[in-house]
Amino acid sequence: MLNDIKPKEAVAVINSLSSGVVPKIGVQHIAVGRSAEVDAFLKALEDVKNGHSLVKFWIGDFGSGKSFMLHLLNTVALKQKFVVANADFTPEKRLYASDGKALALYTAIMDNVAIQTKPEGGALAALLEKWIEQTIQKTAEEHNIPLSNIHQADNLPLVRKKIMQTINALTDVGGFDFGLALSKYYEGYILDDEQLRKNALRWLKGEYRSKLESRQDLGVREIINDANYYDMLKNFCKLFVSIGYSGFMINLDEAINLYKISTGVMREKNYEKILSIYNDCFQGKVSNLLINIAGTREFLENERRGLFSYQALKTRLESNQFETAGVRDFSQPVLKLMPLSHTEIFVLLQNLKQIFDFNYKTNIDVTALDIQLFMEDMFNKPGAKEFLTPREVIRGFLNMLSIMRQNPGLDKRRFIGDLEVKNEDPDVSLVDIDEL
Amino acid sequence: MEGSMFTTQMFGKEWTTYCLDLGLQARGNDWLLKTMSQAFDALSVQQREILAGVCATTALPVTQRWRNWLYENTLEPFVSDRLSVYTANEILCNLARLREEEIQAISPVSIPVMADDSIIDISQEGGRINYEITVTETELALYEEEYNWRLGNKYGAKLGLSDQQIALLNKFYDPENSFLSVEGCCISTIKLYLSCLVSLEKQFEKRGSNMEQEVQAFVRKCVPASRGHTQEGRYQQQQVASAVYLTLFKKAESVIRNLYQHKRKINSNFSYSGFEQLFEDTFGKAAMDIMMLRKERIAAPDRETELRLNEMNPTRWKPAFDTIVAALTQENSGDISAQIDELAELNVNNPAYEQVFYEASRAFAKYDKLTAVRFYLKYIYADLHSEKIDSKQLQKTIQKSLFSTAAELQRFQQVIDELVGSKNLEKALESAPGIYEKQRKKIIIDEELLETVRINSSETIAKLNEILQEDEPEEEMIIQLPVQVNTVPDMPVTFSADLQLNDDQLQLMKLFSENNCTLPADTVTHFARERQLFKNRLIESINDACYEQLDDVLIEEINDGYEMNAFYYQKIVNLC
Repeated sequence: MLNDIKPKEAVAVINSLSSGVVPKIGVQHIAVGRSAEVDAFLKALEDVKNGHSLVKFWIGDFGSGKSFMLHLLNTVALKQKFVVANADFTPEKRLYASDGKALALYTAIMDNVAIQTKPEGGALAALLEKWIEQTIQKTAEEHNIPLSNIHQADNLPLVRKKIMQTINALTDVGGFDFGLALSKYYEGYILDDEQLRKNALRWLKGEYRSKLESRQDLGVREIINDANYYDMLKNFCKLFVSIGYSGFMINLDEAINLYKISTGVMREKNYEKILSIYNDCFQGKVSNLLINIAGTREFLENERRGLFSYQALKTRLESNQFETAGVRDFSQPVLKLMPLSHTEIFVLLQNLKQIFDFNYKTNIDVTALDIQLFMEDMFNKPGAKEFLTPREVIRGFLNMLSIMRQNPGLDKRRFIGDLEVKNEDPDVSLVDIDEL
Repeated sequence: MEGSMFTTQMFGKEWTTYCLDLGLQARGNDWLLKTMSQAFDALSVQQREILAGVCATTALPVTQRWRNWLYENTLEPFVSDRLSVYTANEILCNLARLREEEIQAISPVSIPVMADDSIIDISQEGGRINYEITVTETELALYEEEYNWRLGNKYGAKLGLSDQQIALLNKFYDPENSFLSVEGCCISTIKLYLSCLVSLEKQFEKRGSNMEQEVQAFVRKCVPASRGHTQEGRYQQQQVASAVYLTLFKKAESVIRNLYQHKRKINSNFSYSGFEQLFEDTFGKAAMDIMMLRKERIAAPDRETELRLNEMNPTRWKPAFDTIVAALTQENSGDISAQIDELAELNVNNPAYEQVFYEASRAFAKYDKLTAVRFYLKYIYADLHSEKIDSKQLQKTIQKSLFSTAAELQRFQQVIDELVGSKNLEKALESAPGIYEKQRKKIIIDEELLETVRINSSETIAKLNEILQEDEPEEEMIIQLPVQVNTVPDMPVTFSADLQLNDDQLQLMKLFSENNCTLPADTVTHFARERQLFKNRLIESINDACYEQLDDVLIEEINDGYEMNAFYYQKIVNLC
């Protein structure tokens, strides 16, 4: 039943899941009961690779596996040569703001830019250098300058001009300042001015707060702010694609923080921004961009505070009228993650038992009936109905296997009753949020 | 019996005490005894036997009662020096007659059977039913004993009272009422009354007087002295004196009623109109002050008294209930529940007995669901055994707080139905926790679905594996810049042919391996600059080239430098 799991994947799966986090590698081995969703996002990645842009909403209750799905999506996207960035909405990071909160979200996205060889983020510098190298090469070819000489300071104006030309050709809005910042980055490298390079990188990440400072440091008159950050993201998307990447995928989790914005007007502006991004993507105004937004059912469907409170979004995001719990449509922008059924959890635990045995080269005496009894115990704990998540079940199961491995003589039934279900949901009191 | 024996038995020290109580000197006692003896001897044999019976009866209270009658009738002729053998004989004759009438009234009665020929014996038993009721000597004595009308006689022996205390209680007839019929209440009243009189006595002594003198003085104010010489006058004086003590006793009773939370009050005012204020000024106020002070020392009602009081006062349990429930919290619900049970036990004869449980159920609903349910079950049980079945339902709000799910409510209803059917409270109480027990949910694994899930899961994993582990060679985009530093000719290691690494990349990896797989950022920057390369790009290009082989990153950024994974390095190196 094990599908060619590698030893290091088994180690990562068991260690990470025992600690309650999604493993960095081998995540595909625990993707049980999500076949349709996996197919849907593979199709989405394929579409984006082919030049389309999409916005996907991953909607599910607490513990339904939204973060797991985004993680799996990341792993697959990185492998398919996507540039990936993750950021969470927080009270200080949102899509629309006039006090720097939207810019904070942009900065978080750019800080977390990841590629396959830098999956933990911080890959922006490497990507920029890769793009500049391409541009230098083209400059050298165009002007018949040997590659060994192109880096000389005399040729700097030529390279700068080429950078500006390329960027102008690539971008629609804000291209001039964007190109200027890139040429400054190159200048810093040629002139061996590390500070200039860092300043250019700061500008590109949106870390400049005043235009004066930007002009003094870089000679760039504009800065990235709450109003233009989305244009910069689109510029970066085009830049990444021009290097040879499949596209730019941005994952935005914890969208409930938009629902929680207490001012109705501000909340509506944020939803308006979502609509603007949605329209850009689906009307073909931007290419190779995939934006995933993950949130709870409340965030989507609440008619007073959720996305459905904004009529234009409601009409776009409403479920297919012919969809039922049994007959699903995964081609819609909204992908609702249903809780795993008992049978699916049962299969997942069976798979985990095999991975565990494979990892520790053992064969713990846990039968299918034991797994069933374990599940019964977990689902009958006080609070299980409200708070039990697959994460809790998996962690409890692996902890039990771990104890049994280290204490072979102990009765397995002894552990099952000692498990405790805790409420890990940070958003249990949404109803108490007051409207300002 | 001879006259001398009769007079010795009847006119002993009791006569002296009687006279002293009335403030009279027991003068001329020999003359009295002689006169009475002669009068007794002058009686007929039958009369003498009757009077001898009065002296010799086993029931002392009977003797005492007739002795008092004799004293009351002898007193007036004796004090007025009119007592002669003739007068004494008359008194004794009356005594003998009254006693004879009394004996006849309580003696066995024979109901004559009607000799009626119209009655036909159909039983064929030949006999007749004997309707004659026979009363034994002992039963007669018991009857007489019950004929106690004065509290001193009634409780003297029981409470170990002194003669003086008995006399103080015998000053008036037993003011019978339902409250005093409860022995505990009566005894508490007697104790308060007697202790009050002791204190009053002390107060009067301080003023150079005593209780008896104050009473006599009061009597004289009520009954003019001019009338004191007539029999009627003296009778009135006795009645007034008796009323003084009775009123004091009633005041004590009133205090005890309040203290024992008896709902019905009594009138404790002096009964002679026009003299109420005089009574209050002389005795009443002082007595009430004393009683209020002594109230604290009065013992709480015992269990029997509580039972009787609760029976007479259906709402008496409420103040105690409210006090107990006021202290109820989630932590002490067990203790409070026990106290409520004790309270209910004291109300077992109370017509509103079941209400204690009903109210307890309501009070506990907020703090302890299970106890609340148990109290409701007890209510239902008590209600079933009460005269009128109310079967009060729990209020909707209480019901909602007790049962969070429809299943709990359903199980509760089942318990109630079983209790009503079986009337087995113990069983119902035992099954109460079951209402809140979580019903174990069965996990049902659908075998058909299981296979589908397995197949789907396997396919998905295979599909993802294919994507994540594909070995598609990546297009290398490293710009082949002319290398200023020559390739190391005698490199001790060679790399897998699959890896497309240029000289710059190979040299950097070698540099890493020579420096314990760790290089500072400056060294890498310098290395890149020497070759006109971007530092980040150089590292990323090495990682990119090796990723397919390793499925992981070879060189990672650390705090202020870079680290090459030695294990991975060894993996990609083919040692010659």
